[in-house]
Amino acid sequence: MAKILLVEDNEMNRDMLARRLERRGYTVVIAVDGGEGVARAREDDPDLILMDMSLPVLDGWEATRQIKADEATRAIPVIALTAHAMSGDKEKALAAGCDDYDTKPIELPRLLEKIETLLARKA
Amino acid sequence: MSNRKLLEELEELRRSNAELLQESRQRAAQLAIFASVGHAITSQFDLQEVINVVGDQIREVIDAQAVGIRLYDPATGQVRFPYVWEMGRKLDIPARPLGQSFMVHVVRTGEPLIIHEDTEARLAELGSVTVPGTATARSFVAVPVVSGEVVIGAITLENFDREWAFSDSDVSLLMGLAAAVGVALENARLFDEARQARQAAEVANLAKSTFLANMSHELRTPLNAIIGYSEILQEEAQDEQYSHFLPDLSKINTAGKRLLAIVSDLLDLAKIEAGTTTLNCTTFELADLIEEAVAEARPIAEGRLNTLLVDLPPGLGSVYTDYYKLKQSLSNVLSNACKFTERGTVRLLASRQSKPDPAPDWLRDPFGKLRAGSSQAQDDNIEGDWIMLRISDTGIGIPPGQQPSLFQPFAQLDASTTRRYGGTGLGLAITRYFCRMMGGDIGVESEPGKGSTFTIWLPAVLPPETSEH
Repeated sequence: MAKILLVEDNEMNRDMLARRLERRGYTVVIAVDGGEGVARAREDDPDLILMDMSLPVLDGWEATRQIKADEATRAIPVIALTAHAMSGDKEKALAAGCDDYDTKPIELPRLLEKIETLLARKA
Repeated sequence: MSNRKLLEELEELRRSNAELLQESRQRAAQLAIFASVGHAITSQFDLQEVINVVGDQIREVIDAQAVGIRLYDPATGQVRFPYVWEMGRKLDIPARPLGQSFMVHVVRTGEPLIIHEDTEARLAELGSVTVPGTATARSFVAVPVVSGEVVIGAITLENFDREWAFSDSDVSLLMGLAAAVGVALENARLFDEARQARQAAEVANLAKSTFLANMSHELRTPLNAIIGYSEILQEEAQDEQYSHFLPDLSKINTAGKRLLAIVSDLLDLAKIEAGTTTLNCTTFELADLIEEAVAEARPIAEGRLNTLLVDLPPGLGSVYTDYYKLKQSLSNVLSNACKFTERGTVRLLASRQSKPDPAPDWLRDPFGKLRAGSSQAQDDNIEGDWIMLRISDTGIGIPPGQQPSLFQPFAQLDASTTRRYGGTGLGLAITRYFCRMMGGDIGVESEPGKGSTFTIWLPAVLPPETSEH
């Protein structure tokens, strides 16, 4: 089953999403800020990354840019997660190299569909 | 009657005519002064300007070698000299304590001080200390400037050449002008107070906006946790044979979502009222937004056994406007339609047109011009690029008398409606505000018992400068 790297600083959001993904059989690796996200992407070789955009240390856009600039991690699909009120974030996320985009609070069925589409494309 | 007597009477008449003429000229001059002082007071909020006009006007009509206007501040005990003119020049005199001048007397009595003879000695008796470099008066008049019941200054006249230089009419003119200066001072004080109050209100308003922005985050974070964890527990209860918990978990989840919606509405309205709502325009596919709103409304429609029909013509294309505000507006109307209809039909029709045809009355502002954020409004030329979203239902409808208040905040039909259908009664008020911000509007046609049709008209592309960050 696929390995997902979840980059999210809010503990409860991280716990909820990680548990729900694990329940569906995914292996979930956690990073709590953008810097750790970039490092984990390189070390743990995930199949997909869920990236919160407002992160400490390194924000989600910059972390994505670094992941997409690195030959070793470039191919990993990234789904950006942002607060719904911030329209314009979709364009910003795609410009930073994200492969797709979803809004918080998470609608799990919708997010799962996006995850599966990207994993299928990669495989 | 002798010729001599006649001549005397004629002479007398001539003299009294001359006096009358002199008097009416003086009267006219005084009226002119009051006219220009009155104008200065009503058109100027700057106290110094008013004082300059008053001082200059006094010099025009009264034969004095020195004219002064001084102001006394009871709080500091200091007397300032905003206007001192002596022997043809303006003097700049530093403020001094009340005790060093005749002002003590004027402040205490509140009466004019008039000295015709022995002026230097009388002033010294009253405790006046001569300002170095100024001449010694032989005639002296000081009338108090009063604001409320308090003496806050004086207008002074001095003549250095002769005694008995000032007449009673000079004094009464001066008293009139002193009253005018009192009014000007009061105006300036009120204006200053109002300005300070406005500044304080602006600071408070900013604090309120910041507070709301923080509260928005603080309220949503725990609510999202309640909603999210109740969903996880539902999933786990289902998988692990605790299905008897499901109804309660579902209630927690529904209540949490409802509370989140109410909090969002209240915060949107608070932001609108604080004037901190701004447009955040992006380019996006209109069909994407509609599909998202429909996906949210579908469970509500199904819960009330309604058929939800969506008529999206191909090629709606992309638009440039505020995604969040348009999505919120459409969702509000669509979820209302699904909520207030049972076992009926809710239909959403979208289209893109070069003009609203026919343009409904509610799409015009009070001047009859078409509402539009772009140049489309000019010269009532409605040719342009418009999108229309029309939501019709076969629900309970809205009585004609209640339709005008529909878009006012807190105006759900009645309290029992709120209990039966839920919601805050803020959705349509927020929707109208958002639609108008985006250069369009929303209107309604409805017949009780048959259903309602809400229509949104918006410019498809807002001018680039409309986006504010």
